[in-house]
This record gives sequence, C-alpha cells and structure tokens, in this order.
Amino acid sequence: MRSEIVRVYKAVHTWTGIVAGMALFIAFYAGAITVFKEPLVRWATPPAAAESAAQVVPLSEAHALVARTLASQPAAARELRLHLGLAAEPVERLEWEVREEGADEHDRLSSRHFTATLGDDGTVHAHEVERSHLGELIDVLHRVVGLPVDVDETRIVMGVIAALYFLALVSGFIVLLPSLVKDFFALRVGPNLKRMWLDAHNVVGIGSFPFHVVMALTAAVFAFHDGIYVVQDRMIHDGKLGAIFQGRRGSSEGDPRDPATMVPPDEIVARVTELAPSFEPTMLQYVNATGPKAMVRVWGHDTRALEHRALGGFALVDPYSGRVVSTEYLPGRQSAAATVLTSIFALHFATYGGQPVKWIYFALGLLGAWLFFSGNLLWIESRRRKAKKRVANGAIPVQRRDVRLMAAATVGVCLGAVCGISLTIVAAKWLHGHVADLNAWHRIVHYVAFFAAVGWAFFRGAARASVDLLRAAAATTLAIPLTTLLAALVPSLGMWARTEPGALGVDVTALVLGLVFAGMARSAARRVQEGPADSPWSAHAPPDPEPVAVTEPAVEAELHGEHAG
Amino acid sequence: MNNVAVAVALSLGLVGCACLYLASPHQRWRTSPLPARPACAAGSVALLGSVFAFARAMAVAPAVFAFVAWVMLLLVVFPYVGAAFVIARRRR
Repeated sequence: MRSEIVRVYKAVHTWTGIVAGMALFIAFYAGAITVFKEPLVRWATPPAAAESAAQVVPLSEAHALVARTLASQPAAARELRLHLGLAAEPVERLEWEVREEGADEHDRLSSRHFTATLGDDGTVHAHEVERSHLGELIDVLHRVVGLPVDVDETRIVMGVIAALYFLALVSGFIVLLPSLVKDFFALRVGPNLKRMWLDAHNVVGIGSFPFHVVMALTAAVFAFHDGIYVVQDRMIHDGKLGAIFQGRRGSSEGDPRDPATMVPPDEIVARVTELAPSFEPTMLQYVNATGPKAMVRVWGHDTRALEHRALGGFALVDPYSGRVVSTEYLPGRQSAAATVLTSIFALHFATYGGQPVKWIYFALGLLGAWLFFSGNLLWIESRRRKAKKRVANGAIPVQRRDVRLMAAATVGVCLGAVCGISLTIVAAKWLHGHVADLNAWHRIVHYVAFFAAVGWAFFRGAARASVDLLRAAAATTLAIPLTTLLAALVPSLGMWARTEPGALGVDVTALVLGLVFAGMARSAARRVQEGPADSPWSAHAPPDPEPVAVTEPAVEAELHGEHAG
Repeated sequence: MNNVAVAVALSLGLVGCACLYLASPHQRWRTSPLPARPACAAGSVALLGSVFAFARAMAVAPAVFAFVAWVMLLLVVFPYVGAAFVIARRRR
C-alpha cells in the first residue's frame, strides 16, 4: 500500500479518535455496566420494596385485579404491565408508568410508577411506588455518551460520535493492514513507551474489531432512526407511515371494551408456552386494553435464541380471544427477515447466550473503554518532547500546551466518569431515606463528581491528577462492596445488604474493579515520581510553560511508521 | 440452555485460542513458541469443537455470535496476560 495513502488514513484515524475518544470511553464504561442493569437495580433497591413485590395475588387470581385496574385507571389502560414473578427485577406485580408531560419517548428518568391492589370491597387502590432509576441513569450515560438526558439533540451528538467512531475503526484497520499478520498478538513491553502504547491499543482494536464495527453501526442507527423513519416516510410511504403504524397498533376510535371479558392472564401464558415450550414468560404488557384493537405482549426469555431486547422477546396475543396474533418477535419463532433484524439488536444488547455472553460483553465493553483511553495516551506519548532529542543543553523541555491539556482532559473526563458512576451507585444506599428525590440526587452526585474530577485534572496537572483520580476511582468503586459490608455489620445505619446472586455479583465485580484501579494508581504513582522527567506524566516536569529553545522536527515525521492511533 | 455444552464450548474456545497464541512468535507465556503447524492445527480443531458445542446449547445464529465474542475476548486478553508475565519475570 502506498505510504501517502497510509498517511492520510493515519491522520483520519488520529483525529476522529481524538475527537470521539473520551465520549466513547464514557459510552463503553457505562455500557459495560448497563449489561448488568437488572442486578444493579436489585442491588440499589431496599428489601422493603422487594418484599412488597412478594405481597402479590397469585397469577391465577390476578384477572380481577387487572380487569378492574384497566377499567378504572386511564393511564393503566394505555399500558399496563403484569409481572409473572420470574424476573429478577424487584417490582410490583402490577405496574404502570406515567411519563412527564412532553417527555421524550426515550427519556424514562422522569417517569412515575404506580401499582394497584384490590380492597376488601373489590375496589381498586392505586398508589405510587418508588423505583430506582439508577440503572436507567447509567443506561442514559451509555446511550448519549455521558450527557444527562436521552432526547433528539443528544442522540444527534451520539450519532455524530458513532460516525466518527466508525471512521476511526475503518481508517485504523487500513493503517494496520500492511503489518496486520506480522504484528498480530504483539504487545512489546519495554523502554519504548510509544511502541508499548501502540501495541496495547492495537491488540484491543484488532482483536475485537468485529465487536466494535457492530457497536459503531448499531449506535449510529439507534441515534438516527427517527430521521431514517422521516426520510422513509417521505420517500417510500408518501407521508403515510404514521397511519400505517396507527393501523397496526390500533386506534382509540371505536367502542370501549370491557376488560372483565378478557381471557385470564394464566390462560394467555399457557397458550404461548404451548406454542413455544422453551419460552419462559416473565411479563404481560397490556396495550390499549380497553380499545377496539387491544393487545397483550407476552414477554419472556428463550436462552437458546436471539432476543430483541433486554426484556427478551414477545408473542402478540389478542386479550379478548386469547389468539396468538403474531410470533414475529417471539425468540426462536421468527421469520428469516425478523431474525436478521433481531440479530442487529441482540448483537448490541448481548441478548443471546445467557449469562456467559453477558460477562463476555461486560469484559469487551471495559476493554473498549481501555481502547479509547490508550488511544489518547498514545497521542500524548507521540507528541512528547524528549530531553536528549530536543534541547541542546540537556535541560528538561516544557511539554506542548495542547499535549498537557489533552493529558489533563483525558484523565479528568475518563476517570471522572468512573468516579461519578461509582459514587452515584454508592449514593443509592447512603442517601436512601435521607433525600426527597433520590433519582434526582443520583444525577447530581454523578455530575458533581465528574466535573470535580475534570476541574481537578486541569488544576493539578495531568501527572499528579492521574494518581489522585485513579485513587479516587479505586476508593469510590471499593465503596460499593464496603457499603454493603457496612450495611450488614451495622443494620442501624438503615442500609441493606442483599444476598441474591445478582446483587452480590455487583459487590464482587466492584471489588475486583476497585482493586484494579488501586493497582493502576500504584503504578501511576511510581511513574509520576520515578519516571523520566521529560514526560507529561512526570511530577518533575517543568511547571512553567515558558518557551525553550528546541530543535523541533515535525511531529508527523516523528510519528511516521510508528503511530497508528 | 444446555449449561454443560456451554462450559465445553468455552473450554474448547480457550484451548483453541491458547494454541494459536502460543504458536505466535509474539507469544510471551513460554520462552519459545510452540511449533506453528501442529499448534495451529490443534487450535483449529478445538475452535471447531467450540462452535459445535455452542450450537448444541443454542440455535445456530446465537451460537456463532457467542463463539465469535468469546474468541475476540481471548485474542485480546492473551497478549495482556503475556505482558503481565514479562513484567513479573523482570521483577524477579
């Protein structure tokens, strides 16, 4: 391949990576945690709330509760969920959601949740329930690269980042093509730091290349899907796409129907499991149940098949006749076209292969975050002014301003996101019962920690801040299992220590991650104190950025043949 | 899902990728790489077995996806384990 072509792709890879890298770090770190959103919600939910889930009517007796709730609660009639008691998530059996006026369809952080019980006289008593939005907050950070809300504008930002990410992947692959086979598996640890960071970056980028291509493409589609629908509507459907969907979903016109005449929930479940014996139903979702085109989605899991969402897949059933209307989203029962579509979602959400695949995605997600962090480290190392090369009298040179700022931004943003996420998880237990709106406080805690870390990185300088922030990341992450331990040892604190495997898994994973951050902090401290002084990562680097006489060969020339990131 | 088949699939994938890694001149687990041809052949057989074992546990599409995801993770992690060995040896 001609060297000019490689050089162009190298420049594209470098700058797209630098622009998108820190945002992608947040997306991947939060995304890795989002794989285990359900156990995290369980960890963050006090047992009292879970116990109320146990105070539920048996499924065989749920029909009256469902029918009367649908008849008396207009919000529930739009969409009502009946949990079957198989899901690990601690929720009330019957639940509906009321969204804030004008809220974006993807923004569930402002939603209020309600449940209902039947009184002795058979009347419905609806009451609001507290649900932890911790999992949803971290999911939003993942979906919109650390921004606070998932709305059209932030999704566009995510879409642009995803497009840059895809460009960076393709250009990086082309740059590496000439040495792909020769350098495969190479991670050379030695005095040449630039070479080491390059290898560390390339090993992840090449080894998990298909994973990253899938993530980049699906993220771009998720970000721009509303726009895609608009273009599709104008170009293909002559502006009638909305009407087509409305026709499928059912309109509000027509005589209201009496939910008391619906088929009981246990019978609906039986009809679906008869059709798909390996399918394990977890929830019935009634949609427009009192309207002329009422339907119920029977959600559940089949670990042998691909699933469309984290909730699993569903069979569409007419609640009044009990007829299974569609199996288009039922795992293992889909058409070829629907399977292809589901594959796209499943490959992004890790909704196949059960727990082993979730753990694989968790690890690949963390390694993805490392890919972007190491890319920035490589950029910084490649632009480092070395003493012997650049200063005639051997004095320690001042590093370039852009290099120092990028180093500070990298540790501030990336480690700030880690600290913010860990601290807001810990806040779920420490602030519970002490603040009026815990879900609002989750956001406050996260962003205060995040911006404090960014500010600290610029105030202290990248070298010293990298040690401080790695220690802070270790401390806040270790605080997750320590909080659980403290809750178990001192019950009077009012916190809780859940012992279900999922919740304990959160503690054990945080313990391991915290120890990894502590080890990284130790290594960073050693390098900052004992490493070469002509580095942005040295505490002994000249503090005063006065210009010094240097021989300044072009950075690009220095990078030639060495830098792919 | 057949958990035994999944465990076999993961184990065979691990063995297969380890064989491929150990056959590479860049491997850092041993002082010298394994003979390339036999190691690659053994690795390929193990990886083939891994795909079949995944396919025993789930449908074909998720089996292939799970296999590829597992192999990707191992191909990334093994060089890092090798680097950790190098650092540990130097400290000794």
